[in-house]
Amino acid sequence: MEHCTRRGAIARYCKPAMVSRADCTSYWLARPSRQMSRMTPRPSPEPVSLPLIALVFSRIGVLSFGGGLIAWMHREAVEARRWLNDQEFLSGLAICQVLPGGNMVNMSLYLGVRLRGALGAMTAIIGLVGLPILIVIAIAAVYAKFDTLRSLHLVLDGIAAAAVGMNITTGIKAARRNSRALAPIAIAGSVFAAVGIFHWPMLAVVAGLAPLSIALAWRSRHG
Amino acid sequence: MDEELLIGLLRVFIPLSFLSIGGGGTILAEMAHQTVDIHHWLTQREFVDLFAITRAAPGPGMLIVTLIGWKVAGALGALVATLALFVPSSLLFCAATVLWQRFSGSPWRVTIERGLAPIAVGLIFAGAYAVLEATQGGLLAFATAGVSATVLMWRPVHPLLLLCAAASIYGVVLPHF
Repeated sequence: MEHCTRRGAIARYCKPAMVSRADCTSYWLARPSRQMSRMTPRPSPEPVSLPLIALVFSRIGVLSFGGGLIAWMHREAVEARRWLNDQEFLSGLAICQVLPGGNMVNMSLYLGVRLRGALGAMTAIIGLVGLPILIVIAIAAVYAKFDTLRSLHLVLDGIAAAAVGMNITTGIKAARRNSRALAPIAIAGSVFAAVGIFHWPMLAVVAGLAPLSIALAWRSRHG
Repeated sequence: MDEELLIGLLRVFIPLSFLSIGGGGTILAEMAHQTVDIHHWLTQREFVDLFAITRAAPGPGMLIVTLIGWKVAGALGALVATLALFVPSSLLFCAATVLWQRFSGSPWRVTIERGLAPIAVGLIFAGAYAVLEATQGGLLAFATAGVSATVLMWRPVHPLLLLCAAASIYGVVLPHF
């Protein structure tokens, strides 16, 4: 059984253009398997088809409510499909967070450009926001009629809080795979405290700590 | 009149696109100021409502611009506002990414990636904290997030299941307290 899923995973990675309609349906419902990333060696990069990019990003877009998008993207792109490794994902995330634009949006562009250049980026972004735009407009229309219900606000708060748990998981996984040296941990802790707790301007915090962190990484490598 | 409104949307959201450094959350205050106080396109209360909807709905939180555009000038307004906020920053970002890929394999790039990774970890936790702070749940929200993270670390549960569980607990149990 496990062998089968593993072979399926490799086939899915290597021949993304062969996704049939039946596959699409089951894919839409399936959840990315965690096993494959640990077992499958990274295959030689082969162009990922545009329909697959559109499919993966629509799924990420539709399932990513409550702010769990980074976690979803990590599951899809790194854990399930091995489009890139952890360090590449995290460095992309860091670039996304220091440049203008929504983090989700920029991360989709980053993955799209890596997979298929400009066309891949456009496909990814349209896949990501296409369905959510329609859903958001539909919900706004319905919400206008029920916005006095207290339990509705409670439900939304509950969803948001649980979704944050996904982000925490992503953060823990990323921190684990980072170097265990004291310096990166101290840097990550300072960034969290400065931006999260003290609400210092993020740009200033990153502009101050990023050069320090890069210098420390350079020293640990060459010193 | 309609054209004026559309041009107004462009003039508000294109500059905001370039200012959204670090994600959509950073420009929310300015967006509220522009759309509520200066242009009177919607009330404070409506802005908060639209914000809540985009937070609970799938997709990027920045989709609040779509709803503002819709409110101001209908479907065309939604399209114009969305493009005005998304396109400028996206072009800038793609140019930066292409430049970045040109240096693949260089020791400098590897070092920069290794140096930026802990920054990203810190920002992920800061983002999680910010969302928890924004919900009205207080300690309960932190506990829910903690439980959800623990379950996800421990077992490969589908995250949507957790979201549904939290939604039903908050929706069914809490109203009785």
